[in-house]
Amino acid sequence: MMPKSITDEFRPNRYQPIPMFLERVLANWKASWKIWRMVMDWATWLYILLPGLFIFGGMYRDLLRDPPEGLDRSFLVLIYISLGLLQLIGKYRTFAEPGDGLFLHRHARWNKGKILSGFVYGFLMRLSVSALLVAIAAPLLLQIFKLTSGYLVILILYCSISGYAWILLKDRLSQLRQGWGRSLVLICSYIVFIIVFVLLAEYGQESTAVLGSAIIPMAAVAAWLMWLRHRMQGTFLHEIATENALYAAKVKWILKEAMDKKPTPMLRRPMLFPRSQPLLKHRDDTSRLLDSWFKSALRRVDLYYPMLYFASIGIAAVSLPPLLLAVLVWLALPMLVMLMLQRQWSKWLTEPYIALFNWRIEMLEQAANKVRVWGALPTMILWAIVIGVKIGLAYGGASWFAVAAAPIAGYFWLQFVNEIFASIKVFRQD
Amino acid sequence: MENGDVPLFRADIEEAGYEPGHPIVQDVTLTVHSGERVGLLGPNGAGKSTLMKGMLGQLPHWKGKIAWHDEVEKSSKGSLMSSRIAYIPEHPILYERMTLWEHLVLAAAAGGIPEEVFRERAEKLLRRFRLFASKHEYPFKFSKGMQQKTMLIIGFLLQPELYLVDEPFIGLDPGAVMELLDALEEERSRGAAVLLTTHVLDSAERLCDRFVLVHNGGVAASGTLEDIRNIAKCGAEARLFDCFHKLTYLDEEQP
Repeated sequence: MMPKSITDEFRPNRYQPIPMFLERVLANWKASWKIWRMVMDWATWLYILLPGLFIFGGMYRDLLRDPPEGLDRSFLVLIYISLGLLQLIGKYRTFAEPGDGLFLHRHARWNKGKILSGFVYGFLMRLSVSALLVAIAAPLLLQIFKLTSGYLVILILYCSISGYAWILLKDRLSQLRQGWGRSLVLICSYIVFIIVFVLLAEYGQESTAVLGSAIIPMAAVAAWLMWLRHRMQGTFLHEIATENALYAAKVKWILKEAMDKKPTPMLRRPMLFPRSQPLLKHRDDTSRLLDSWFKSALRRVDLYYPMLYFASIGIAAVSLPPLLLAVLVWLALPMLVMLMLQRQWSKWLTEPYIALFNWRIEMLEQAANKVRVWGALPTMILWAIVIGVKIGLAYGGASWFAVAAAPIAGYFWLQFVNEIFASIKVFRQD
Repeated sequence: MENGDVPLFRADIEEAGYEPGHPIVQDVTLTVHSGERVGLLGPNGAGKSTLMKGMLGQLPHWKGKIAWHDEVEKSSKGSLMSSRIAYIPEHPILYERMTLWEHLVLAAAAGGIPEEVFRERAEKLLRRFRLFASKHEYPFKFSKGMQQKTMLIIGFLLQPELYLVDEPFIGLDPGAVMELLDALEEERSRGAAVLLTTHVLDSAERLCDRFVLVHNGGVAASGTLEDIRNIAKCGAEARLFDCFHKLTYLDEEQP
């Protein structure tokens, strides 16, 4: 008997703009829920979230029952700033997918439906998040600050409409400008938005009519931006980039321990050494390799930031304790710096382009020695100056000579520590 | 002795693949001579790139022998990975934070090329492949074709004994293809050998002295164009394309 044939699905209605938009919204929230579930297992609920909610609830109840004396209306500014910041994180979304570029993107009807659905979704999201935050704050606002429920309704509308106008404006600015210009314009817009938002909300406390009437021009601006967005052509790649960025933002903090996020350059040319100038003189192949490493490290925030943090912590560690302990700490710290540098260096060598070549072992060993010593030298000198100043302050007079002597001693100490490193097999290249 | 008579390396590959027990390539023997240009051809998924990766020692599972002809005594198994080769991969491999010029400097450091020689070669190649004006830009930001040219420049800069080139024509504009063909011709006259994989059979026919047709993980045919015509039972005027089609597609049963 022949097996019963399976008919392949044929549901063309699924590809109508609104059903498909809803399907994608649902899939997006399902995916978000899955990601949250990865983090919020029963242990997290039991040991962190539920106790946290219980404590927060208790504190909130205490605040309502017995408000502190200093709690006046200036505290409201914090709530308005929170509401304003909540609007800033919003984005206009169309839930576009790269595959749409093949067929759907060619159809005006699909594009129109997608963009209009994005408008509705964007406004509903603004309304939901604003209402949620105002609802949480409502007992405080009504009971302690004696605001009226009518004001809260107007406040929700004000937040939603101003937030909605903002996401449309941000979307437009992101498409009109590139690179540093875009970042600068967006940062200025953030600041202006927050200032105007808070001032109007504060002024509206006294006169609900003022806040209510502020909504009208904002709604008009939003409508104008919607009209512009609707007419805008060539937005598909921007929509894909927005969706990708939102997805990356959603998962990156969960995956941050599992994978390193390597920042990629924004500009076509480097800002440091823009004409490929050497940092070190190219005496031999080792110095060429070292030059590549140091320039890469200086151009990569993720490589030198840990070093800056460590240098700052080190300054505190050598300046706060008594002199003898500070000197011991100063002598121990380079080992940690060198370990960090060694790790970064080894990782850099595994970069696909660097690993493309067959490097000579003696060259790698020489370079690793210099990476450790030269890389650690600036921080070591900085800490040495702190030690020198401490000695000068403690003993005065000729002891201020230590400010010059300590960095020299630091250099020789680094060399000594490096020799120990070089003799340990795990740090050798063979 | 002519260039093409001196064996450069020999690979006897029993099996190679990504998982144990699932070889992609089996029983392949390949010898390349100095100054020879060998085309490694085959349909999609035939195992060409796997074979190349195997020769570079990049595969986790590998059985066989591979050795440079003059080093056969000291290394009977391993890979060709050494400063004697330049590998130009299908997908450009670049470092995000180095300019094009710095990529070349690093390659020169790895290849031990003296600075004067490096400057002369680098500038000539940059002009040849029309990237001189972009030498202080990040290749990471280049178009696919420009990135491919970057990889070619790096390869030619090293002037190795053997070029392993994976799909070199993809993404290149016609002018760049011409420059590539000319540069390979110059390298042949220097004595360098080229082993390249490609689907662009017209260019392969023009460029290569010999062909190895990989099909279903093994060698279906190998030799000069005339040998391939005979194996495929094609006429004396048949193009490589026709022989390839006959040997790979027409003998396959349709599901």
